[in-house]
Amino acid sequence: MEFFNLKVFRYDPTKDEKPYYQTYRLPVEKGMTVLAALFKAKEEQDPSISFRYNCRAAICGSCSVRINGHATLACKEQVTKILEKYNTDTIVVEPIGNVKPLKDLIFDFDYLLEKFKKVKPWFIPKAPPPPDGTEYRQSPYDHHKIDFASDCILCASCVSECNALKANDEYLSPFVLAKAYRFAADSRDGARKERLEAVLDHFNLEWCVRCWQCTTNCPKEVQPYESIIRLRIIAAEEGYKTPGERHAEIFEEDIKERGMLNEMLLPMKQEGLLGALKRAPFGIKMFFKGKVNIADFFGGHKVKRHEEVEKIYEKAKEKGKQVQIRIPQILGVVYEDKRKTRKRANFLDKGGNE
Amino acid sequence: MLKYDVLIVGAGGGGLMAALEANKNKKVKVGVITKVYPTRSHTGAAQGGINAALANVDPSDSPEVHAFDTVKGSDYLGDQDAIEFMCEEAPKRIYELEHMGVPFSRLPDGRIAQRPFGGAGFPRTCYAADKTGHVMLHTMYEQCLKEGVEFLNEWYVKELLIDNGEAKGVVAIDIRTGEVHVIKAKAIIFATGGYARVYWVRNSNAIGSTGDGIAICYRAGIPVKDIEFVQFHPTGLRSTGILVTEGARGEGGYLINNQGERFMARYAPNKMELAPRDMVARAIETEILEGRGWGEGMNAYVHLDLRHLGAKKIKERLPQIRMLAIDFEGVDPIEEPIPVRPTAHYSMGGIHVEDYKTSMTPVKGVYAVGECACVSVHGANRLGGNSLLDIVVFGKPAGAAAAEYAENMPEDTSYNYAAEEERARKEIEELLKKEGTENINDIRTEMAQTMWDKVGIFREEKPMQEAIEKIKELKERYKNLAPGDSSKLFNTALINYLELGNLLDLAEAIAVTAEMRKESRGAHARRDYPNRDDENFLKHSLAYYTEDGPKVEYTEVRITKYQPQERKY
Repeated sequence: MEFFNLKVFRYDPTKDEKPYYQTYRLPVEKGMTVLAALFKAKEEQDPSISFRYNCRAAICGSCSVRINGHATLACKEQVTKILEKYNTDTIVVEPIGNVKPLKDLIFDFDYLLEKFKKVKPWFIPKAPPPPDGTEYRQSPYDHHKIDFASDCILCASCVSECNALKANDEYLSPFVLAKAYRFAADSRDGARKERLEAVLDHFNLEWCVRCWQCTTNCPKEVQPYESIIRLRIIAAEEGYKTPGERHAEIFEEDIKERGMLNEMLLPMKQEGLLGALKRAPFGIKMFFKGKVNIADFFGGHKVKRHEEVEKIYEKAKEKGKQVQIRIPQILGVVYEDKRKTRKRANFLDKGGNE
Repeated sequence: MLKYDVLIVGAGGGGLMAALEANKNKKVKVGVITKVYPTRSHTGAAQGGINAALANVDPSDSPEVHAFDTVKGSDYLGDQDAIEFMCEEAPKRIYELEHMGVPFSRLPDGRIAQRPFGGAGFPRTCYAADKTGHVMLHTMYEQCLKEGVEFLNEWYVKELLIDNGEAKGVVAIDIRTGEVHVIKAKAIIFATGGYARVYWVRNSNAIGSTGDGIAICYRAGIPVKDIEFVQFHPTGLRSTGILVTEGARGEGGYLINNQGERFMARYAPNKMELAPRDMVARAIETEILEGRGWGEGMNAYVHLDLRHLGAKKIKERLPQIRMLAIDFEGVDPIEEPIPVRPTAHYSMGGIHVEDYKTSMTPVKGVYAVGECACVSVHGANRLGGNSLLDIVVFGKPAGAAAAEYAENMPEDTSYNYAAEEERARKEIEELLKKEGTENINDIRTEMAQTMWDKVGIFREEKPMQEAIEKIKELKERYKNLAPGDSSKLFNTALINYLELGNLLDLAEAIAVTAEMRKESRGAHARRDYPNRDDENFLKHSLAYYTEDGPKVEYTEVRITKYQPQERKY
């Protein structure tokens, strides 16, 4: 292939009623990145294309865009690779999703910064520094817990395809939660509780639908999804009951008491009377479809042979004494560095340099 | 009209450190203006680390040894009092950064880890894996958010306003709206980074490292110091100039020419690929000049071959370099050699700082820190790990000094800001309407090619004189260049146009001062004057802007206890 089409999302709110796409024909060159292609189009064909850029080495986080539907950094993607991957002669470049486009490929970053500030994304020391004025001590293992999480370049690629944010624009979004993890997991930090409360507010940890889009799109392998799960575990360790945990407890109580779930009372137990009232219209619909029994409202009935359920519980209790799940065992998994390309067998290993 | 007591231009490490410090003075209003979001600044690209004689790894290290290494590294052009100050302050600033939360890599006992670096007598470089600058930049930005520092993100500063030898403010463009504003400020700190982009594709810097602050101050009448000194890194990727770290050669990579030879045998038979940076850079350039490279002109290159190391070792030990080569060059080093060539890396020269304790320039109320400034602590050649140090060590006192100056400065009521704003607005309006006959890429490429070929790694009188003429011609052609986009919102074509103007002014100053320095010192290597000449050139150059090109003067190097010796490693 000698030429390819660079199809660029164009929008200037002062001039255009609606966004449109403009296509530039460019030669295929080995080593050319999508960012270089954008510059080539801008400087040789159309100076009016606007996009953000700076380091062109995947460290500043300016140039996140959607390329053929997937959010990534324009400076990091080879034109030849994209053409091959999608088996096409056209590269479509659009602003990332879930944000407001301001002009062409440039989106409103302040909207994300406002979310960012909500988790107090700054170090709040646990104690004053050592009396001799030297550094806080931190073991290599404790440093390792925050090492991958501090790789975040705030490019917002994780925001683009986040299904939770799509459904709820109050959701803090993946990179914000990943940053909350970075501080909550820092052995030197003293504001773990404040941060956890910020992320537990408005069910933020629960909103994540585990679709993995953030971790898949992250160009720096920061693992936002994993950090959300890590935060859930840390919150549980700290004694916070997340709505999810409460939900599981209600399930467990119901099964123990009745051998089946009481869907009439579940919302009330979970969210209290007021919260449950919000769900009343849905409950009524379910009733008319024959999905719930009104008798459940008054406690309802048990399953047949409920005594067998009780036996299962007794057996489980016995076994429970033998099998102990200890939190420290889980910790190793919690803080595991899951980067594929940069994972180091030994975290003391010397990295690259200039 | 926007009004600040202290205005900081640039939000990389130097700017943010100054902002944090100035902001502690509650009597002054501090603002930071930046053409990108702060975390996009080039500080984030610094990988290796930051030097400080903490003596965590080797207890015999000390600030005195650090100072000597730096003086020697500078090829004795650094000001020794400033270097001593920097090395004394270094440990304190590292601890301060750590107390802000920077996640430094650790030793088993929990203290900050340190590693060896080129030109240093001890393992002195503190680091956070391979992203030291990134975590420093983000941590300082986070602290600014905590302290509520005010930012003007995506604003471009076009001019510095000076009256009667005093700072008055700046003219700036809000890139988001295209509006031109005059911003009133009593004290202005420039922290806008270097000018390695005069070599355009053959450089390792961010696209925005166009020396804006230096050019703005230069045109406003502040001299630029030692601007002829540019550091070249031996191995940049062929098409982008992005760095391939020294680690690739450290692990055993070969440099190969088109004859299939490991050519370093000719230049450094003992050290081979691990000879000092400047030596390797000159060797590669010589191979290319003598026709033993691949490709032509700016696209010529040699091979960095890692294949013999095997897939396992490459994946385990050099994963990042492999990713860089794949992402930015489209080459997998397991299967193919990486095409490399030296790349302009760091600007030793910059805005003339008169007083290293405050970073003040000859103009009252104007300060400069970091790569855009020339104190000088790097002299003719900067040591690895000293640039991140420079920004925090000098950023802090500059912030404090600027705040104190502004606090004691009465409000100016006589300067006609409105007239300046009107004039600047008209200028930009004219520019947007302008019809051009030139292409920005053509002028920029010719500038870069000229600078690379004639004022690059090897320098010689005649080619440099040609370069001066060529740059003058390009400056003429620049007058026929137009931004080409008349829109208001995010008109980056206009910004790119203004940046090129800055680069051209600086390119001219580099060529002129380099031609006048008839000696070889540090990064300035002349074929016609291969030796250092302390008798005539142990002095800083100062270039003053005039319409007809730079007017050059010299000023003394401050020597305390280290008498110049031959620089040998």
